[in-house]
Amino acid sequence: MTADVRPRISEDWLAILIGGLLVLGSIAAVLANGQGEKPKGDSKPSAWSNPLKPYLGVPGKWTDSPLEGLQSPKALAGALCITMVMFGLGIAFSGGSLQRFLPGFLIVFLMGTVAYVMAEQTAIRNAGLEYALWALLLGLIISNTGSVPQILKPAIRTELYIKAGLVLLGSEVLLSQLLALGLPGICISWIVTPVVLITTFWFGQRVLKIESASLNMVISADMSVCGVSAAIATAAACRAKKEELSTAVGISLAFTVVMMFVMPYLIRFLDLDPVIAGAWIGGTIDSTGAVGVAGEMIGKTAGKVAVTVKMIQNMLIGVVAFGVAVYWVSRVERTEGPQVKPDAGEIWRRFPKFILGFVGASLLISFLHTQLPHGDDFFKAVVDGSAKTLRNWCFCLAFVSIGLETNFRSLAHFFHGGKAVTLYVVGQALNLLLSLAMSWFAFRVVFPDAAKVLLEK
Amino acid sequence: LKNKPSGRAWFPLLLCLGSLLAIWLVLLPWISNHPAALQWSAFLDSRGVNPNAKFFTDQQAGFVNSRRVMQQARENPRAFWEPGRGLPSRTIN
Repeated sequence: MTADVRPRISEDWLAILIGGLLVLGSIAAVLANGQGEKPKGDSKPSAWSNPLKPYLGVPGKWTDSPLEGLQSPKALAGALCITMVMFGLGIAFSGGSLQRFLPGFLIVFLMGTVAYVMAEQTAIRNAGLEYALWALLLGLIISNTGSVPQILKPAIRTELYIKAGLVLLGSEVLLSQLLALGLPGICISWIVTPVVLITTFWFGQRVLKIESASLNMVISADMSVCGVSAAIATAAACRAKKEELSTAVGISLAFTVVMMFVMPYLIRFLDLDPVIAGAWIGGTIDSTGAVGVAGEMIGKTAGKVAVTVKMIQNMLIGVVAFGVAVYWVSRVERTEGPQVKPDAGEIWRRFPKFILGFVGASLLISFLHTQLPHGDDFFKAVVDGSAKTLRNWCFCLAFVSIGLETNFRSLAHFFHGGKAVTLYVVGQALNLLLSLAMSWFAFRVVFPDAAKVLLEK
Repeated sequence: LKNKPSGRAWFPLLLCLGSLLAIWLVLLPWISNHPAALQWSAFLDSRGVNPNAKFFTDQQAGFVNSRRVMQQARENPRAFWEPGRGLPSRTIN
């Protein structure tokens, strides 16, 4: 973190403030816009709409010229203005210099835009190589080939961008979606996933004896839960180093691309039925995008089951982040520090408070979803119209910042000896076995009628 | 880290950025226009899948598909919530 002076407010509370205001702003915009008349029997147009949507966006898909992806400068300018104003005011409120922050932020945002444009090139997009990788790469190139200009340094606020992004992510987690696939969905996503996470972490600590417990935890979480988003949340919860997050994200993206193409062929070879195949894909492949691709390669039934299982698994992010944070402050930091059992006050003092912002945003959107008419449309308007765009920008700025703060040598250190990759491979192998067994048991043995229903169009 | 790079220090930076420009503006568009890549792209577009989606809300098809599944589960609560409504020997095809 590059701080100008001693902050007036901790970074966690500042992230809750910025992220929370962005969430509340998104909700207020949709509520203020009001509810349109929903035609009977027609799902379009939506009953709720977000007036911010035309003013918030990210670069779009392009094939031959990057200009194809920059067709909506108004939306990019809007995203720049909102993020710059919110983070700028946050910096000023915490006692930093707004004058020093703003020019650097403009350049970091520009780098994030370039990273987005790189990720949206058709060949890259279709391979599932998302913006986090390119944002990291651009930052790494600047910091490792030349030097990081002084003007950029006040805007390199990795933790702040990540934590504000996570609060926004909370507003995308609807608690009712946990029940989307009934008991089979809960068994596959909420039983297998924690078992794999805990077993992989244990394997890393006891068998591989990985030096850094936080690296071990971030890799275990991103492999077992849902890739980059889970890695970001867990890294923030256990205060992992930036290089550890980069390592976990790099490994996860590499294996995700491989699994996205290999699993459909493996499934055809094993001749699995589409429901079990979809559940297996959703429970194992890290990123949601790759899950969608692999599922659709099998067929429409596998595609919808895969995405739904992944969605239920996505709900675990908050629980995992909360659990990891409690475990870290009460057990890991205790063994690393004085051998005194921390009391509740001490646990609270060390607890990463931004998680409360995540949970609060999730509870608020879930409450509104159940209370308002056409709750699904309301949720979609809030998330699609502004929350997810702002969350993606926060994460993109965070990965540019990580790249700018990292040097290749320190990154190479985490790959040395191959323990990190071994951990991922062993954990993923266990995940593949347990997820397949649970998918088969749930849909073939215990809930065969659910599988029949899902096979219907 | 140094703050003011010497003239020589600019060379690796420019080389890296030049390489990226060449890859993204020449190589990748060429790959994207290969018939197999076009076919793959058309398949993904027809299914509404974004391989770059980080979270399920980034996936437009995810919204539609998960809603369909949720509706099926709501309409058939016994199938999704009551275990043992079938024997291991029963097939689902």
